[in-house]
Amino acid sequence: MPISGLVLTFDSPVEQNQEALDAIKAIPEIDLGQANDRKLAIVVDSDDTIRDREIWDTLQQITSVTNVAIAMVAFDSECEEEASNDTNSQDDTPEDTQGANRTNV
Amino acid sequence: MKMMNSDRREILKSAAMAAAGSLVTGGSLPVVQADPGVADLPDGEGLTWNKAPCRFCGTGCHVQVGVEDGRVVAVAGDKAADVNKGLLCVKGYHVGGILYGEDRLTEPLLRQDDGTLKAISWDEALDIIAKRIFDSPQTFAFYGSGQWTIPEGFAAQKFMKGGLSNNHIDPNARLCMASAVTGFLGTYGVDEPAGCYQDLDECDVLITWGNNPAEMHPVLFSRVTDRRSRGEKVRIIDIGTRRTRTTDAANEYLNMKPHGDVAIALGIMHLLIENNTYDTSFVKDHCNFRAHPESGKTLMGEAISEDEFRKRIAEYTPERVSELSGLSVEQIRMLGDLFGDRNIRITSLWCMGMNQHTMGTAINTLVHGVHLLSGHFGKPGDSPTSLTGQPSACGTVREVGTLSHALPGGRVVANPEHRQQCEEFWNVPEGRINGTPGYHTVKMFDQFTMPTDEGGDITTMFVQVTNPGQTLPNLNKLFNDKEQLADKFLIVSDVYPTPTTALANLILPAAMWVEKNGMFGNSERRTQQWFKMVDPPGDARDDCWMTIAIARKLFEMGHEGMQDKDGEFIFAVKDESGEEIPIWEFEHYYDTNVDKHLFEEYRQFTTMKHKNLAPYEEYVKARGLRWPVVEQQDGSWRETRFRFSGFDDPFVAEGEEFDFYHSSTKDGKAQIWFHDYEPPPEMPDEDYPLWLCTGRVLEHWHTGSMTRRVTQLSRAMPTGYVEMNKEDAKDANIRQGETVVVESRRGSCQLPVWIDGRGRPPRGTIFVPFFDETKMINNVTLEAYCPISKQPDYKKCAARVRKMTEADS
Ligand code: SF4
Repeated sequence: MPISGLVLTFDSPVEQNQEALDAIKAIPEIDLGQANDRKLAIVVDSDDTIRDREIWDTLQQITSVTNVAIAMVAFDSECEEEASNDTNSQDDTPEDTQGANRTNV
Repeated sequence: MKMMNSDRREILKSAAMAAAGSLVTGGSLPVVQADPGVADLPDGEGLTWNKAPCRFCGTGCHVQVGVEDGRVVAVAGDKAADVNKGLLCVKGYHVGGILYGEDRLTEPLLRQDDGTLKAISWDEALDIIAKRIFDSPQTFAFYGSGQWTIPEGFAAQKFMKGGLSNNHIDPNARLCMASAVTGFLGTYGVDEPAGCYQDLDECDVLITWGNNPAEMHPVLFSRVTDRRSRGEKVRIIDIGTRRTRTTDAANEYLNMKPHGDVAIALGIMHLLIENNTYDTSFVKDHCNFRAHPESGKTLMGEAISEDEFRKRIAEYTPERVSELSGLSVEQIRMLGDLFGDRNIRITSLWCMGMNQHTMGTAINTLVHGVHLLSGHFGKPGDSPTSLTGQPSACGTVREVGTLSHALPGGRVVANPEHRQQCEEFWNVPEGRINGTPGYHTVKMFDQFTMPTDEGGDITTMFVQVTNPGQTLPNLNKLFNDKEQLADKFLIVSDVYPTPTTALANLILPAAMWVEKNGMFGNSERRTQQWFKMVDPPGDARDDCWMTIAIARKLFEMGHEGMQDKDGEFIFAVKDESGEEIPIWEFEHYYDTNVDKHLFEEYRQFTTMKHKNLAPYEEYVKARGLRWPVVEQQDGSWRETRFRFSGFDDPFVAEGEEFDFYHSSTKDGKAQIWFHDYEPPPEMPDEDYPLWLCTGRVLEHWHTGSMTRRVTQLSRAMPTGYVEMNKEDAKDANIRQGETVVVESRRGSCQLPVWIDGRGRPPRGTIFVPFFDETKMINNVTLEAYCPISKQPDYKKCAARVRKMTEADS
């Protein structure tokens, strides 16, 4: 049940991205926070890491969102399990997420 | 999986919203408030909390580490810590996650002839190392870091200089703050900042010199921006070669040319003299003037008269400085007026921008000189302050002196008296310490990767707690050649596989952070302590233990250097009954607190340069103490915030306003230096028309070997990139996200392009972070270094960007 505070950066001022905002609002796990110029604060509270990942991917795929930054993640054992699961993944996007391209001894 | 109760969930959600909100409204504040729900969680039901400094940057925030069932399960900002008052940046919040990447190294691995790695026992590993050192002790080199804990660094130092009579020990901090050290030494005769973080709370003006604290020291920077949100006025002036998140928070951005900082500092001094706005009485009472002799550059230079200084500085008119620096004449005059105003308080901050510089020592001394000449010194808020990138670059490298020329406590190997003092403290025979400085980092790797028959006289190297295979400049010259050299033997102790372990002959699995006892020293002279909280995975072990265990093997093989004057092992630790505790056997290493023994031995050295430390137990109680720490009449220990200032420094005589008591001129005065501007060693030209600058990003710590294992951080910044100016990209027909080749005369690297991204370089400039081991920008950088500090310049070289199709052809 990851909880994260994220900052979305749009390619234009937030209020000019109504379609994208509607799409984000439609995700029930997301609460919208403050907006300023091209940046929007949100909190994602999902039931499990798989759903968290889906939401993350959805956000990254919104055309007008140019960057998704993490402001805070609740750190507990679930996060570690998630990290561990992710390092096993070889089909992560974008191309260089961890696991796929690190040094092997 | 544990379930979170709904109250705690709500607290975490509101903390997450506050954190994200602060980024949005503050523009550049990646800092979050401590979650009170976590910080106030009581011990019990198996959950315990303990203090530790953050593993990452030199800010030195304290965290509270929650441990349950032998595992770190939570991290919170430590509200009792003066440095961060409960705040942490995004890296700090994830610091617990770095322990649990799936590919932790857990057993010693020996590379076989066919290149594969075979697991071996610790005993076999130690035998191999000890034999190589025993057979050729003077061709052995030890390369460490500013992430070595203080006891680890002290043990390595004693092993090399007090045991092997070998000075080939140097840290990666040579690559990040050696110029700051030489700048302090040249100016005050003693290293490290006079002020402290309180300067940031009290300055009226903050000048960032080629520095991006909003991303690199976020919690520290938040101390300034938080003042604004409380309604205080703080003017931030960002002098840089590209716009960053610090620029976003600045009132003014002054875009300088690479190396422009030298000209700007000279220009400010020129105006202070020309306008007669310098602080005449401060200068008369507390300063001398200095420059390099004609015969060549030296650390201490020679005295020049004030008249001579005036004559030389007269050349640096605003018009000339404008031409050299790229700032306008008005901007230079604005800075001159600012420093000429003694009704305001000015703090200068810098880090890699001024240190990774072929004029690194020069620009450091010049910025100190600007503050001294203008009298903006020694009062809270009036301070020249350099920051460090590593958690113990100060505590371990600068104070313990793990540099090729240094000894603990500000002593140097070249001075016979210093050697004698150290030999006495270590109880080793007179003459044990070698008087010739060893190889500095660039030279050390050059000698290691040079064939032995061509003079490459380093044949075995032990690397602990760092990743030179990614961080050295011009890797093709200084590191990658190792692969061809069968007689060179690389031993690497680390926690994860890295580009350095990829070429290692022997890999040792290390314990990290709260898997061991430790002590760090942060950027404001604060010594911090923590206890081991969890076990390392598998057979991973403490770096300090490795050094002691190798020393013991050598002792048993009969190496004389491993004995003290009484024939005892140099790392002997005895119990109360006088029996030696076999700390070289890992199962007995924690029978006693080895850190405490080493620290108490080291503490004796610290009084010689007035860097006095308190007993170990004082640090157990505190969230760090800033040295000099002196004992009071009531038996308590008092730290020092402002050195050399009579109102706070216990070593300044009563009634004196200032005393630079380690003055190189032995008259209690600091040195104001003059240096002529020199152009960078490599400039853009027709073939390589762009300036390349490298650096770090908020989400990753240095080479990313720890932070890239944390999913949340990796997601937030998954890949290295090249920042390009929009117009430059357009001219070259390069699109956002397109993969291009960045190349120099030394090598190349493929990277996706980020236009108008987080940083915004001006035309003719590109920026590449070095955290991504799959995109090695240090194949491209230049190894030219400052002639005094020997620190390489990663901030400027000539490069070009080519489309993949062009590069292919
Ligand atoms: S990385 Fe630096 S600023 Fe961030 S929490 Fe750690 S010590 Fe503090």
